[in-house]
Order: sequence, then C-alpha cells, then structure tokens
Amino acid sequence: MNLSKKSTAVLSAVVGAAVLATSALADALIGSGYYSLKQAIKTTSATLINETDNFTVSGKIVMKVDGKEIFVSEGTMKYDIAGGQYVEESTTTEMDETSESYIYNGPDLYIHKDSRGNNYATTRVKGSEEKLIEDFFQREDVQDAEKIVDAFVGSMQDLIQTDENDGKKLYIGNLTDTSVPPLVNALSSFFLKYAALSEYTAENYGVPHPKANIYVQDVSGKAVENSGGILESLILSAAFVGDDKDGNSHTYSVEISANVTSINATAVEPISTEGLKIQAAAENRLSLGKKYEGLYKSEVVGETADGFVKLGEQFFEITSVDGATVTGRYYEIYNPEYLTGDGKSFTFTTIQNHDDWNRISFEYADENGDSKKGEFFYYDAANIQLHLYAQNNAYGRADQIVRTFSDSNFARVFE
Amino acid sequence: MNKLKAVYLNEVYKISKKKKITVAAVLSVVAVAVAAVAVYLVNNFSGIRVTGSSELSILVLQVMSYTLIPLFVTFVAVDMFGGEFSDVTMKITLTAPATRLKIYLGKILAIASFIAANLLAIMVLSLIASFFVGIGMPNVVRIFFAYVLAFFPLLIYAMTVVLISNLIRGTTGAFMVSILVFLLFIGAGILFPQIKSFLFTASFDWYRLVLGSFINVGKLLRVFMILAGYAVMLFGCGFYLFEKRDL
Amino acid sequence: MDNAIVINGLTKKYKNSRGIEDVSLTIERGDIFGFLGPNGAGKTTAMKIMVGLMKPDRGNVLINGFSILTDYEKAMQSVGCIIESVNPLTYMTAYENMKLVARMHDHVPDARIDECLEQTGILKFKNERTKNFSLGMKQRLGIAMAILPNPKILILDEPLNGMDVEGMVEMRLLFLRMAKEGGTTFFISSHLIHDIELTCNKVGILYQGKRLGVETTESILQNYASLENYYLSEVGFNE
Repeated sequence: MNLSKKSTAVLSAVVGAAVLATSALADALIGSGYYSLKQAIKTTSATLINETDNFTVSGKIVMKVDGKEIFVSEGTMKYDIAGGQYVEESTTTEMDETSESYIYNGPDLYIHKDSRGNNYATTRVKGSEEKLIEDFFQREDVQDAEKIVDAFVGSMQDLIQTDENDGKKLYIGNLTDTSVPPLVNALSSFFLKYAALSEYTAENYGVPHPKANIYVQDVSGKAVENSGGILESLILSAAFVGDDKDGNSHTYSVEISANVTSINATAVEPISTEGLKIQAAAENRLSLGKKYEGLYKSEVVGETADGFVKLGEQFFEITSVDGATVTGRYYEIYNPEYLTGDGKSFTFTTIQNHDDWNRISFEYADENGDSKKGEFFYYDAANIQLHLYAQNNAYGRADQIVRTFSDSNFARVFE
Repeated sequence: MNKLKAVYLNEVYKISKKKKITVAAVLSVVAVAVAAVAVYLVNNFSGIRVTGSSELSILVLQVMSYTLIPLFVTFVAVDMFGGEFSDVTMKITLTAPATRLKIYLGKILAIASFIAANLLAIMVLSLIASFFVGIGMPNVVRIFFAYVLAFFPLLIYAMTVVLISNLIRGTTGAFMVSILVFLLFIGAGILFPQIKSFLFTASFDWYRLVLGSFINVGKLLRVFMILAGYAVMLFGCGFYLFEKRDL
Repeated sequence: MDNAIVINGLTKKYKNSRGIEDVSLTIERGDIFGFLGPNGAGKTTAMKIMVGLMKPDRGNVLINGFSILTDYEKAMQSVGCIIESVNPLTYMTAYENMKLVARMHDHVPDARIDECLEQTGILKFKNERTKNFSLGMKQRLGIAMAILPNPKILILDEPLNGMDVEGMVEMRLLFLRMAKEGGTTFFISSHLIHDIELTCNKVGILYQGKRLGVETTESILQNYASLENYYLSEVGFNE
C-alpha cells in the first residue's frame, strides 16, 4: 500500500506529462490564426511575383469623421510580370475635390498623367532590367521586423479566427477596447493626434481635431484565402474616439480594402501617347546632357555695419559633357579689397551614373594636394547646387565685415 | 473531507498571520494606485488614453501577473514547504491526524486561495480606480473572466515552486531557483517561439483570448489541457517528494 | 487483550549505520510505558516512525489496531505527541498554535484550549507570541497541544526537557491523573531514570538500536534496588 501510494504519484506525473505533451504538440501544430495568416500573406506575395504571368490588385482607403467621408482613394494596379510592365490608375477624393492619376511603366515607355496637367510620356534609354516588384518579405529588415512583431503580438495572435468555406479560408479578427494593448492604444492615438489628423490637417479638412480622451475603439479585419493559397481579398478597419476642444466626442475611422483578381488573365496595354509631350531617350532628364555645358556663378556677400558689399564670386564650369564623361573646373575671384591669399581652384573629370537621378559626384585635389569629394545637382532651369566636402572659404577678414554669406546655389552665366 | 478542510483552514490561517501578507496587500494597493495615476496623468496632459474604458484593470492584471503576484506566490509557497521543514514547524502539521496527501492538497488549495484573493483584490481596486480616473464604464463581466483565467497559470507556477521547494532544502535556494525558472521559461518563450506551447508561462496572458469579440474556444481548450497536464504532473511529482520526505 | 500500541520488527538504518533494528514492543491500554535509553540509542527514531514523521525500512506500527503506514488518519485520530523538541509557530500566539491543533479534531471548543493551558500552567501567556517563550514554556505548550483533543494515547519524547523541578512534578502529576481518570495510555521516552521510575508502570530499554528487556516497574523494584540498577545490569554495565 505504501508502494502503491508512491506509484500512484509517479503514474499521475507520467499521465500529466503525457497530457501536457500531446496538447502542447497539438497546439504547436495547429498554430494560430495569426501565423497562418502571416504565412498566407507571404505565399501570396511570393506566388504572385514569382509564379504568375500577370494579375490585378485593386485597393481602396476611406477615412471618415463621424461617418462623413473626408478622404477616399481608389486604385487599380495591373501587373504584367512576364512583360515587365504595369499600369496604375487611381482616383482620390479629398475635400470634395476629385483627382485622377495614371501611370504606365513598361520596358521602353513611361507615361504619367495627373490631375494637375503633368501629362507626359518618356521613352527609356535601356530596357528596365530591375524587377518590376520586389518580394517585400525577402528583405532582411522586414524579416527582422517580423520577429519583433511576433513577440509583441503575443497572445493576441489567437484572436484571429479561421474558418473554411467552399475551399476558401477565412480569417477574421476583431479587437475591442478591452483587447487593444495599452502600448498599441497609446502609440496609435498619438499618431492620430499629431500626425494623421494634426491640428493643421484637421483644419484643412474642416473636421474637428481630436484633442483629448483619444483611444482605439475597435479594430477589425477580414481576409479570404483561395484554394491556391492566395489571399484574394483583405479588409481592415479601425475606429478611434476622441474629444474636440469643446469636449464633444467624435469617431474617426479608417477602412482599407484590397483585392487580387484576374490572375493570369490581366492584359496590360499602355494608353495611346497621342497628344502627350514625348521626351526622347536622348533628352532623358535622368542624365546630364551637352546643354548643361557652360559657366555657373555664385556671389559671396559680406555684411558691414552700413549694409552689404560684394566680396567676390565663385565660379563652376562644366567644360564638357561627352556621353557619360563630365569634366569641369572651379575657381574663385575676390574683390582685392577683401582678399587675403589665393582663391581656391581645381579641375575634375568624372563619369556620371544614370541611376543617381540628377546628382553627379566627383573627386578633386585641394590646395595641399589632398583628394577631396564633391558633388553637384543639376536642375531644369540650368541651376546647379554644388557641395564641396572641404572648407572652401578663403574670404578676406577685413575689419569692417561682420558676416559673410555664400551658398551652394550657382546660376548659369549667359553671354 | 473534514480533515482536508481542517488542513486547508489551518494553512490559510497561517498565511493570514504572516507579516508578508500585509506587505503584499500594501504593495498591491500601491501598484494599482500608481497605474491609475499614470493613466490619469497621460490622459490629462496629452489627451491620449493609454487604456480604454476596461483597460485599466487589464493593464494592472498584465503588470501584476508577471511581477508582484509571482513574487508573493514564491514567498508563500516556499514558506509553506521549505520554510516549515527548515524550522521543523512542519511537525505540527504532519503529526495531525491527516494523511500526507490531504496535507499536500490542503496546502496547495491554501496557496490557490491566496492567488485568488490577490487577484480579486487588485480587480476590485482597479475597477474602483477606473471610476476615479474617469475613463468610462468598464466591462465588468469580461474583466472578471480575464481575472479568472489569469488564475490558472499562476497556480501552475505556484505548484512549480512547491515542487522546487520539496526538491531543494533551504528556503533561499528554493526561492532563487523558483525565480530563475520563472525567468528562464519566459525568456525561452521569447527566444524560441516554436516551443511556446510547452511553456506554462506562455499562457500568463491567455486571458486576452476572452477580451476580443471573437472567442477562440479551440485555443482556450488546448491551453486549458496544457495547464491541466502541468497540474497533474506537478502534483504527482511534488507529492511523491513530499510523501517520501522524512523529518 | 487490548493493545494500544503494537510495534513489529521496526528497522530503520541511517547511512552512518546508526538507527534501530528489529524493535518490537506491545503497549497495553492504560499503561504508562517508559522508554529508557542513552542518547543516540534510537528512541527518537522509533518515535518518529510511530507518528509517521519517518518511514521505516521494515516493520510496522499499529496504534489502536490501525497501521501507521496504511491507515494513518485512524491510527493518529486519538494520539497526541511531542517528538524531539517542541517547535511552535513563532509568529503566532500560544492560543493560535493551540487553535491549529483544535481544527484538526472535531469538537474542541475554546474552553478546552483554556483548560489545557491552565493545566500546563501557561494560561497567562495565552495571547503572547511564542517567539519569546523559554524552553520550559515551549515544552509546556507542547504538552498542552498534545493533550488538547483528549487523546487516548500520548507519545511523548523527553516531555520534561528543559523544565524546572516544579514543572517536572506538575507535569508528572498531570500524566498520572490522566492515566488514572481517563485511562490514557502513555509512551514516554526519557533518559532521566528517576523520573521514569516515578511515573511509569512499565519500562522498556533501547540500547544501541536494539530493544532489551521490558518489565513492569513493580517487578523490577522487587528484584533490584532501583531502576538504575536494573538498567545498568540490562545494558551489561559493571561498576
């Protein structure tokens, strides 16, 4: 009997361990709604980008204050992965004003139209070799962020419910004010008050600015995964409650929805370029052309007790643009009244990189023969902004000069 | 059954006579007050509610269930086993006409009551505080269920401490090891989320499952089974050690 | 024959090879049994096993016919005991310590607590914490706790330890009265031979873990000048 008491204890320990192990194993295998939803999002992203020829994504964002729509934006993106092109069309209604935009991005043509009349088409120099869209979840920073989010979500991950219906998987989640963690509540309320609907923005939209007692009232979401493991629709909504300066309570809500349709049944065709300003590849604004050759000048001004005087001039000359090779020089000319010592001067030759947008960097030797870095930006109206990463002020220090002014903006000198 | 009740009453009586209980009560009140004042101040100065109408109680529960309550539980459970063995007062308990099973069970029930009383106290305090802070009418039913659920993993932790206290002689050692095990389990859950299902500490915030508008019954059931498995296993192991221990 | 305590082949060995070996004893109801032996003979070990604080390697103890190993509750139902030393809960008062014992038995009113404290002479310390009790006071409290539920059997390990002469006499008279009026059976261990001689009607000797003779005090005193002489001859000590 004494023995059996011990063996009963041992037996119960074994039974308990078995129950624990099996239910924990089952729990680990079943996972959570959160994990399967996350997996579905990754699968969708990877499948669409790597395994389909084309598809259409449409999305909509609606923001409301007390049920009144203050911002609505709708868009459709048609991707032709195989053909390396996409079309993006969107309509945005803000403060009762509607604007539309159209973007076509193809291997050798880029078209952009917007409501402000910036309509143009650009032909490309070379075929676009970069991927049309990148798989977001393969990025290292995103993968690290994912781990942090996982830890943060904790037990809330089980608040996402899953359901099967007609071979489709449904994900439903809903957080009420009891289940939103305090930190999330505080951060998102802060974001609403100071960023999304700051005092200035609220005034622009003509809606009450949330001032006090702001909290997340409700967050809900729903997603549908089709039999192919692709999320074909996603709806998210969140509502905040806050008081305005008069103490009246208002509800601020945002709804986001997205749908994936026409997988392998989407045709991407650019609109006709008729009536659009066409920029040829040679005039591509992405590279420094021969027309930028010439002299650019910036004045150095000094302040005296009585007023301002000209101390001298800085010159930057683009002597030649030969394809990608750019050569130029820099020199300073000072009013002898103020000059002490020689002005700085140097020449440079560099190769422009087309991916660098409107920036060209170069190296030069300073007065001591040390190698220094510099760069300049070029703009439409023949202006140049020059940055030299070395002290370049050899200005005189005549007693009457209080301060000197020089900036990096150089204007073209026309003969 | 009478003997079990008598053992239980004696153990509750002993807990209630200890100074540590006064300290625990005072600290609980202070913790709730600090939380309430913090929430009130943030709302008053920035207009942002850290907590919705029901969240103050949940916020307090979340903080307390990871900090003060486990600490108090460790004190009480170590005292009740290791403490009584080392100052030989266990003799009074053991020579009473009750089997060791009833004594073991009675002691665990007393610790369970202590945890329940502690949770009840901070729930009531935080509900009262949320009225003062003026963040609206709390959802009392949900809060109550959340507190009920929070009880179970804390009880499992208490049973773990009991096991440790029967394994390691000396109260300081048992106390240290208990706290270490608690921290290791929590750390393991964060570092290796794939083994989370096996750790009872992962269910310390499982009450969140009843806070959303959707109740994940399947998950609740699985966690409950995991905790039940823990309970039976820990009870068996702990009792085995307690039964064979000579004084 | 109605036996209060039956000890059968009790064996418990410690790692240092001390302990008790094959100890058997039978205590009849109403006996005041004196358990005599030098320090380290194994008296406390035997008594710890008798009240379930320790598990024997072999053997069994029956109290009122119930095995201490399998029927613990029934066996201990009418047993009061002091083992080794009295260790009350120091953060509680004498009354609160008594209350712990009272709860474990049915129908022990507060009046009975007062009565026992009175009989052991510490009623005036009822509401004082036991933290500051002297050894003698603790011993008196231990006896009060042991007799509280009116047990039919009292197992007392060195009950007069640390007491002054007055206290020793008071307690002896209390034991004798209980045996006479209530028919209480006593199992008292002591190394004080004179005390055993005055209190007990039967004496058993434990020496180096083994049981030697068991005799009534009456027959011993018929054959020997004193209990001390009997003890010395039993353990084979020659002057």
